[in-house]
Amino acid sequence: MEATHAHGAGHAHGDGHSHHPKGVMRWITTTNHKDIGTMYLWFSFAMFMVGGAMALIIRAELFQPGLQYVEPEFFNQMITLHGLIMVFGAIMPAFVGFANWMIPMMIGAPDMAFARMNNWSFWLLPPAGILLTASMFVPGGAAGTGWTLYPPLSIQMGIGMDMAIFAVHILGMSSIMGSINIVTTILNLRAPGMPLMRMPMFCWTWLITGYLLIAVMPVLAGAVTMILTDRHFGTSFFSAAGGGDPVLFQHIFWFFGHPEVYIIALPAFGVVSHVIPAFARKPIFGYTSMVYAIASIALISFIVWAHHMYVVGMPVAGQLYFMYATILIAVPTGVKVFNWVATMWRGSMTFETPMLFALGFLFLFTIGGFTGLVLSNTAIDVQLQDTYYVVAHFHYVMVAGALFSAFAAVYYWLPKWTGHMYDETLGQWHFWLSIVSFNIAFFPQHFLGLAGMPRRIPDYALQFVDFNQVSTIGAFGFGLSQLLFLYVVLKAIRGGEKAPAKPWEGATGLEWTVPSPAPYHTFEEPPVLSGAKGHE
Amino acid sequence: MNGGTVVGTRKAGPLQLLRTVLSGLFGVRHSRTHEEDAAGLRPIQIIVAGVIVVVAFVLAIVTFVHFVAAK
Repeated sequence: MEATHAHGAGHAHGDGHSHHPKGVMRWITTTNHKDIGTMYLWFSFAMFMVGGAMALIIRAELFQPGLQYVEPEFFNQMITLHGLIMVFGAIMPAFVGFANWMIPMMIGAPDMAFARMNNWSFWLLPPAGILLTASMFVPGGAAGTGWTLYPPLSIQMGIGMDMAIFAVHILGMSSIMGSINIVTTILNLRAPGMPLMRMPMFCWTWLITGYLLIAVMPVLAGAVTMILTDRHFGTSFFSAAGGGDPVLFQHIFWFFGHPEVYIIALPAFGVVSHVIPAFARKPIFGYTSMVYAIASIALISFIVWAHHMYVVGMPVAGQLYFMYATILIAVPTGVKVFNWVATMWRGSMTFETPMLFALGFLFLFTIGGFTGLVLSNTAIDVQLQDTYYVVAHFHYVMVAGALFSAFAAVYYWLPKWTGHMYDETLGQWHFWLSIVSFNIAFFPQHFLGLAGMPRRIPDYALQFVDFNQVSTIGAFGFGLSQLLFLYVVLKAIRGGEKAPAKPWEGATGLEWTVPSPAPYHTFEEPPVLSGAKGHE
Repeated sequence: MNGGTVVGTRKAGPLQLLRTVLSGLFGVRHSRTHEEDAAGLRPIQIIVAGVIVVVAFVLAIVTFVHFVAAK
């Protein structure tokens, strides 16, 4: 896409620097989408490290049968906090960070639609992160229910549970405000000449994700508020002792929880839909069908929630309904995988680090999707529910899916953010170490689950020892590999080869028309679009 | 459609709307048919039709389940 600045390249970037505060106040008071995007990304990396350390405690304990390092109660707290922190603290803020940084530049807007609310959306996150991590140190410890917060356990725990509930409230508020901001920005601030069906795929995935978030975060907030009132104000929504129904919570939670999977997956799809065309040097195959497939995945994600609940007691008709609906959602997802492969078909491919992570995503996310299809079958799920097979499945979706896509995004856009090329050799080392250690950590968990090892238990029977030891070694390898990622990013921030405005030969879009590093203010005047489609 | 809008001049019928949404649900279609449809459809039509088709989709599965689960 050709774009020219109405006032020439020099104008937009010279002013606007003198009046904003310096030092720490710059970050506290900023309304600049790039500053806020940066803060989101650093926050999510910090949470990724905290959640990762918890994962290593879990894996260390599971290296051998019996209890070695932690008490079972603390093990349960690690399970819970690892899940909550990784989902709400690491992955979701990472993709909001990408949205903040890139969406205004992709659509030729000067900033997000609600710049001050954007600041507030971010600054809600650190208190929530502190509440979650600090809950480990209160009497009774953190919530030990697992990230799903099922009653009756969540009605019985100590003050750590209340802290988790408030943290979820705050994170939910932040997500809702963030998504309102993103939806409004995309709908109202696109440069003239960029209709919806011509805008970049990352914007499409975030537009639909924004609607999903607005639809389901209040449902989660309602569910945890009902737990709160059950705990302290004498209600009995979920407490069987007062006539309540614990299974009701599971329905409400998964009505949020299943779309949540797609809230995490869709922006990841968006990133991959930029990286693969750029490094295959071909436009994305089937742009329109991709948009439709994303929309239908989003709609169908609302009607499959009880496949998480096959064993809680459900009529056969209910099991069959949720099984059929879940299996059918594989069709639009399969279409997306097909489109990415078709994009690469006869492309002129190179394998820089972003492309490697995108291909790793494609390969491993497909494995995670297939194991999801296995689990969608009620008769099989009755055997595999709450085993390590489920743990393996959703880590292939969440880590190899969302996290690898986030790595692809960081390497792809890092030259634009920092003005420097990252160290390609170290980036490729990061990829290979990550993908090998990830598979060492999680592939054996399929076998553990098929053999019947239950999840969320700190001890296990002797026949599970070998695969658990392999898994723990892989997990520590994966965790240590991420320190290399931190080093590569810091190295690119501090210096390195100067990045041109468009460091990737095949990249397209407005974000590559501004200099690297992107000036503090971009597109103060909307760009004049001419030429072909916005997504090409 | 060189940078222009997708608001077209020709009005699309309900069958065409249904075809658009069903091919969207499946996820695969020819770009020529899409260009034809896009010329006559407004987003609100597609969204409403999409929600109706999802409701019909749910009812179809429920009916099928009742048929399968019947004694």
